[in-house]
Amino acid sequence: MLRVGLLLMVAAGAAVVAQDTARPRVPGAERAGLESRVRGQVLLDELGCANCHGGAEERVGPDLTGLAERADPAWIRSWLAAPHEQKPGTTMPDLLRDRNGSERLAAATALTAWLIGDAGERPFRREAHDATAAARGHELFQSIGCAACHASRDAQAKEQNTDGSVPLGDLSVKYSSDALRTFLLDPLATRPHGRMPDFGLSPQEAYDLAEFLTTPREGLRAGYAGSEAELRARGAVLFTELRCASCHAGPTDATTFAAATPLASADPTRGCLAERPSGAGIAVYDLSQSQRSDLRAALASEPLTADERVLAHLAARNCTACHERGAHGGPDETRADLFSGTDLALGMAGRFPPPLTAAGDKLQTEWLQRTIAHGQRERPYLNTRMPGFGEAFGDALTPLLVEVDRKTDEAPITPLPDDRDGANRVKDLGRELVGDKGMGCIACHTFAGQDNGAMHAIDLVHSTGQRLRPEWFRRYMQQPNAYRSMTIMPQFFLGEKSTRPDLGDGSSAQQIAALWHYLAEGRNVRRPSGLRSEPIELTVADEAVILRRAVQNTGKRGISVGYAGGVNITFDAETLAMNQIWWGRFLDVAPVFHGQGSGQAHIPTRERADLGRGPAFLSDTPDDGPPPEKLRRAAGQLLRGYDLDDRGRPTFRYTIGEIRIEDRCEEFTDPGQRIALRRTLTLTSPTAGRSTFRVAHGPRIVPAEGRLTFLVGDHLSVKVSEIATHLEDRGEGRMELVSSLDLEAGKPTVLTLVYRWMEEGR
Amino acid sequence: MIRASRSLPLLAVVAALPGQELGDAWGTGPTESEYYRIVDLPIPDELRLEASSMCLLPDDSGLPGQLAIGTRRGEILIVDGAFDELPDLRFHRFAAGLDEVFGLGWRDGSFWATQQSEVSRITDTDGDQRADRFDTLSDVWGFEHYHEFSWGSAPDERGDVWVVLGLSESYHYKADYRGWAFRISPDGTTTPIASGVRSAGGVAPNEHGVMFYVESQGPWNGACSLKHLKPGSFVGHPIAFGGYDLPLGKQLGERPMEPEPRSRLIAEADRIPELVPYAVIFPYRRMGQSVTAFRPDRSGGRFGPFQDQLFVSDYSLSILMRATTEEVNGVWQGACYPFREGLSTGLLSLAISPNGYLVTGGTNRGWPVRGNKQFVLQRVEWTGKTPFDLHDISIRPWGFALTFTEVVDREIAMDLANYRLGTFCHIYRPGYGSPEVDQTTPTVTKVDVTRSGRTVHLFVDGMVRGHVHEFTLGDLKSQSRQDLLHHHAYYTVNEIPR
Repeated sequence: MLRVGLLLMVAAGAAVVAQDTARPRVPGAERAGLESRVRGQVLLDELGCANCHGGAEERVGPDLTGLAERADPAWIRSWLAAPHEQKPGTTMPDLLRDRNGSERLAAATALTAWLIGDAGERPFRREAHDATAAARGHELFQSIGCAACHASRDAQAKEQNTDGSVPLGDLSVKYSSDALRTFLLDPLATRPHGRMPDFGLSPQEAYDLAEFLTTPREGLRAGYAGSEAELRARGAVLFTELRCASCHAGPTDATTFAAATPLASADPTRGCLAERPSGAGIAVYDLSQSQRSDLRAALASEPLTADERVLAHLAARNCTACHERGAHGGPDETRADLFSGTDLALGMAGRFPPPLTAAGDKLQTEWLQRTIAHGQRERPYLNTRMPGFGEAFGDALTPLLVEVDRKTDEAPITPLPDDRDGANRVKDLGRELVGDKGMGCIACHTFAGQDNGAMHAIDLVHSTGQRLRPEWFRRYMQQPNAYRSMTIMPQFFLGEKSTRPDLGDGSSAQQIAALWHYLAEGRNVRRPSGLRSEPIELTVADEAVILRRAVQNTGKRGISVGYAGGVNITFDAETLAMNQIWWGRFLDVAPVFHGQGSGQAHIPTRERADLGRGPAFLSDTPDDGPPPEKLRRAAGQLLRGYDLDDRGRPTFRYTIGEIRIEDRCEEFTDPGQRIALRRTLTLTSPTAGRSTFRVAHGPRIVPAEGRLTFLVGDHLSVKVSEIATHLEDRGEGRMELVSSLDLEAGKPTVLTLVYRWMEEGR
Repeated sequence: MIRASRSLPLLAVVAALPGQELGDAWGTGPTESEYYRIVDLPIPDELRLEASSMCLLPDDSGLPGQLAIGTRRGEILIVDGAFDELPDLRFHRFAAGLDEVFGLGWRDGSFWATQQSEVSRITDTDGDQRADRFDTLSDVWGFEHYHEFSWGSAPDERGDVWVVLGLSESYHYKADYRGWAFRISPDGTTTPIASGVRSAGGVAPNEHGVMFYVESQGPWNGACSLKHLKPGSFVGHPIAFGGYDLPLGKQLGERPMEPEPRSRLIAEADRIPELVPYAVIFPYRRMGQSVTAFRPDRSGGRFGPFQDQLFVSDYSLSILMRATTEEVNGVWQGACYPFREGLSTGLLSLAISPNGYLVTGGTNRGWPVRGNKQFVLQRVEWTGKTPFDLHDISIRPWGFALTFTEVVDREIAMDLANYRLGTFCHIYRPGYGSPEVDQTTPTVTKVDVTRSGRTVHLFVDGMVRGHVHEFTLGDLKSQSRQDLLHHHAYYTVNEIPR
């Protein structure tokens, strides 16, 4: 008995789930925090109730013109026969529910014939699948915001989480890749309602996404009998009878239908809102219990306030999937990981789209309308893109945001003085504040497309003047975290006081106005101080100078030495190898002394030669460590440090296994010659053995005069002491100049090398 | 051995000026200045000083009690006169060419410096006051991205330097041992201490001599914090678990269990034995945005009433804070308090002299910062006047003991309404930082003022393990009618005493 009861309960539960699964999905309306009547209003709009019942807001369905090229006829037929099975959660009502199986199929077949018409010339086709493009498409789908509304997908395009998602159904069955690509390039052309916004995809991106989304999967593709005139005629009748044209543009012009009962006087327990809607002319939406009650609440209630209408709009287009507005919306926990960016240093602001809290106050009306209608990419560091929802939606939402958000009772920002000099003084103050000696805004922000290399926060001048409202700017500057709680931007103004009381008159009012007028000038404004890093030259006088910091052509552990007289080297302390030598000035260290120090010291000369990267000492047992091409130090090799002589010249100390090595250079000048460098390597080992030292390696090494001098590259002459040194061709254009050093137990072995720059070269 | 310098490469004799007050964090700057004034120490323009680490020179250095500074530009400078009553500074460049010195100490005749690439012992062997020997003690870690910062301690009582290695780009594990902490012995022996570091700041002993480090807010760290470097521990960020497979990493034992994303730190610490909850959490923005360094005040009262507490610097907001720690049920925890706002650069380092001066400096480049001077050294001086301020908070099984710097007005102090207490914690998660969540409001059921008159016992109903307890004090007054200087303090409760 108990068992039976349990089974029944399970069965009943399953039925509820099934019904709920088929409910039309408007994810924005299912987020927490909206009142029932607001949710109901969203459904009234999104389900197109007014299209039949009359009312102001009509919801335009997809344009069915040209459907023959876009959708697989077999899919159209099965879709029409049972839309809620093909795509659970669709907002398209089932209009054939009252017919039995074969009647439905017959009706769907006739409608399909009518919809695709005589598509003889441009029939629906599928192309071969491009897996490489699909892989790129997968990345796009997951990162640019598709998966904010739709279920995220694995590499096979299988949906991962359908909760809270706008359903797509099986797109590989519906579309050809070509048709989907065309749709994605301009979704509003066929779906002017704008529920699917325009992401401004490039043709390549649209192609990649389409290839991904039509990734072939197992699936039935019912055959399609073809289209005969008689069948099409029956379809045309059905198209009119079922009032398809109430929502869709299509092959039949919209005829005037007798309107259904106006919503105001409709019985909210009957018709489409009945528990079990049935009968001819009834659109079956498979509404859930709570959706019915939301719709009833909306029908019974006063019109929404402007604030509620904003929320309803945001819910309808699922803006709240990406943006928060006050306590509403924002990426939910299950999707948060899909939001990514290219500048991690910006924290949350570098991953998540900005909040819409006070958006109507922040943005100028025209900018706001354009952003909603056509999308925007003001924050290139966000992978998620702001898409365009179409002019109609822009026109609907913008005035509401302005009405609800905009503060109009405050004094305008101090205007620029009329006289040119006065105006320039204001802008100069702004420039000073923005620069590195003022508030250092450019430490984090891009300025007219230029940045300091480490952080790329929103461009300060790109569109400030057309984008932001000056009064909002003033308030934001006063308290950035009041607008973005997780911003890493510090507060620079506290009430009337500036943190730079020494600039201008030190007041917040004057400085913020100056910042505004300077930034609002646009891209041609004079650049602030510190944007371009002035070179910082490390000069060498009569003592050697060392820089231990990233340098060109070396890893992070480079130790560069500038010797008196103008010859310089880098010793890579990671691989224990001198890897480059150059003549002339030592280094410009601005790239490592500016900003966060993300760059590499710059070698300000062309008289430079590579000695080859990778370890200099090769292990006799090659299995011990990484191959020489690796840029990491091998096991058993240790840097011990260095000593400086009385002229600041280092002797590097390191060990290769049990062999101790001292490695030093001294500059010298032959009469009438340019400065040269003599390097002395002293190896001491407790046991006798052999060590292999790579003098240089690279694409061009040739013997020069005698058997001890070689030319490395075009200009560097290297002369080795009387020790077996030979050139090896490693293949693939790589030469290696190698010295074989025989070591006696306990007795130092010395190798000397002389480096000279040959103007003439080879 | 450093003797007073004969030939100084840089020389400056400029009168000290009162420092400029650069904005507020808490709005208490003007009042704070009555008790602690900020003085700009004169430095020559050409010095371009970006002080990233500091230490005091001991007796055997030849310049006892003087200041040494390690810089972002790779120098070690000896500063003579920074702690003189009338500061007249002489700078001497002891060493140059190092890679961002974020750790400095002196022991046995040498500087012990942590630079990005290694921990080094740096010595002047020929007595010309300039380093000529640079010994690499350890460089076992990978260093492949500039944003892999290494911070180190001064040598501890055994002569070991503790080094804490920030993650690659502060998010990833792209090079060996990023996100790990090691202890480096004078002979170069390198012993792993902990995994789980994110983007470290300073490393130093707390006021009880136990090694701690500063962590920045970000993934798995809802806010900045002081963390205990407990040997064998996991300090919160799991991305560097790959290090447990490396030769040195294996010495630390098995990988800990992966923390659950979107959990709470205390819940995960209860589940993962190696995970040590963060000792002192600095609520984001209210108490700094990028905490950098800390030092205990060992001046024996010459720096005011907060002797033996930790003084903590913040980069973004250019403020100094205080912190106290205590060990409860074997776990470290404690509180942080506002101290002094309005410094003029992004603070990276500080030192407190035996005669009671706090010297601090840093840089303003690369990250957002409120104090916007480029090359400064500032000194905070106690005016000799004692503020009426919260001295420290200590937890009890029944609540908290709040000690003040002065005897309190008993009548006002007995009013329950003067103690507002709220709690919150962070989501322990891989996303950047965290909002404050799980707020509760414990009830103060009873107040007792102890016989000394300086300590108030708050009996609290509803203390929450794993939560920061935020104290908002009303208009308490001292017996001599002084107003309370700061009204906020934040105690991180990891454990409630048994």
